[in-house]
Amino acid sequence: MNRFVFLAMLLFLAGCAQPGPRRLLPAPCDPGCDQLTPRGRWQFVHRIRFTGQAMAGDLIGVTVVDGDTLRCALLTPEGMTLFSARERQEGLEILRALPPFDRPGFAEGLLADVRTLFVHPRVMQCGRDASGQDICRYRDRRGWSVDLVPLADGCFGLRAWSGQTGETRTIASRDCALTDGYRVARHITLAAAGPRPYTLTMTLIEALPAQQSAP
Amino acid sequence: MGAVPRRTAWPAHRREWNKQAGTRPLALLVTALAGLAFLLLPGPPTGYAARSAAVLPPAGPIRSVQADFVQEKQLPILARPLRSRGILLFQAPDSLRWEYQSPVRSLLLLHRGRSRSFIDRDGVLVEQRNMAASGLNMILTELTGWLQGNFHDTATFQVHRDKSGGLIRLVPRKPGLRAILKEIDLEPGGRPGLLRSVRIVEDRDALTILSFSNVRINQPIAPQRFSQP
Repeated sequence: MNRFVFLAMLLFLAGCAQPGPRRLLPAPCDPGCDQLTPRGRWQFVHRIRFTGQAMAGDLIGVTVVDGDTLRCALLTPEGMTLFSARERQEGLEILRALPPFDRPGFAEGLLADVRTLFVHPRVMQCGRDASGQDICRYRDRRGWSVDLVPLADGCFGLRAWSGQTGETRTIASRDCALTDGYRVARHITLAAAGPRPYTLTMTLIEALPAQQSAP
Repeated sequence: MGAVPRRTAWPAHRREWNKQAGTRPLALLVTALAGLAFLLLPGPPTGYAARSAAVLPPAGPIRSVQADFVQEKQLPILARPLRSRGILLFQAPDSLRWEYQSPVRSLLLLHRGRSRSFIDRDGVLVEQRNMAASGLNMILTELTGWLQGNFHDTATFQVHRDKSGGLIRLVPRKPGLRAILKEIDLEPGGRPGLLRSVRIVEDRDALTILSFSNVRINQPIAPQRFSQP
């Protein structure tokens, strides 16, 4: 792990300890923020290590980002489909959900995490925090405040706060490469804090800019 | 596929084959469900044994099987299928090694009544302690029974054959099972004793297709291949 990643991790951990977004000092938008959202249609396949309070396991996650439309599926490492859904402007459609992925709120929470990972608006509030770190800030569909942090090593971090529930999401990435205008990370860690904390450790299997449209 | 099509072991005698068709896919299904065990779910057990059972020969004249497999997962959201590769080793009467080598390395071992499951973590195969022992053992018990010719229970699947006899379709009888798995299609190979492919239909658009190649019958396999990662 290089020193930038280490510094990034420290930054995020520090961010987690804070009750909410930091005050931003005026600064122009870092152009790197625009590289943190895949433009056009992309297909990602990750190995996901999930650790929660009551269970842990390994999954394969398939994510297709197409503008504002998301499709995702969770498979066992052996390839059995446990969950699949798509979210469009019309709403969320669950295509398959085997227990325990059929519990109320799971699909909404999963898609919200996927959206936090991959979908960000083109227009954001920009600035710098007290440490001089460039930050791109927006409010997501749920009303959470999201800070995107482009890092010097080409990777990125993210912090998201729910003002109402006190939940947070902290995302760190490493081993990134700019591909078709998007900073593809080989490793992503998402830590969820709140009533039911969990961590997703994601290792990229495949990132595919895709041209074909899917249903 | 050229002169040597992809194929794998399959019961040599049609009469036995007919009786077995209804039970081997049960193993296939149950093995597929093994993936759920890691989430500490109660209930149905493992998938490895099931998949492998679909390509296993009867325990009679065939003493061992070694084969490579390619698994393609097709989902409507995928621009291209997910492809996994692995190997299968079987030694009569009840030793099995079912190993995925890519993209995520994982392994199931069945040997002398003991089942173990492993998954790769940072280059090391780590045993999955939370794979419900009861589930794995249940599958092992069933699998052992099938390999010894106990194929009397076909209550789980209904067997359909096309008129040419070239395709065997297994349909779950119970609605609960049909919610997970719509059907399994088995395609026999070019000669008795071989199976060309297994097609698992989860629902209308989600398919898993297993194809087998480089099949070697009755060649010696080191015993530790069934007991050590």
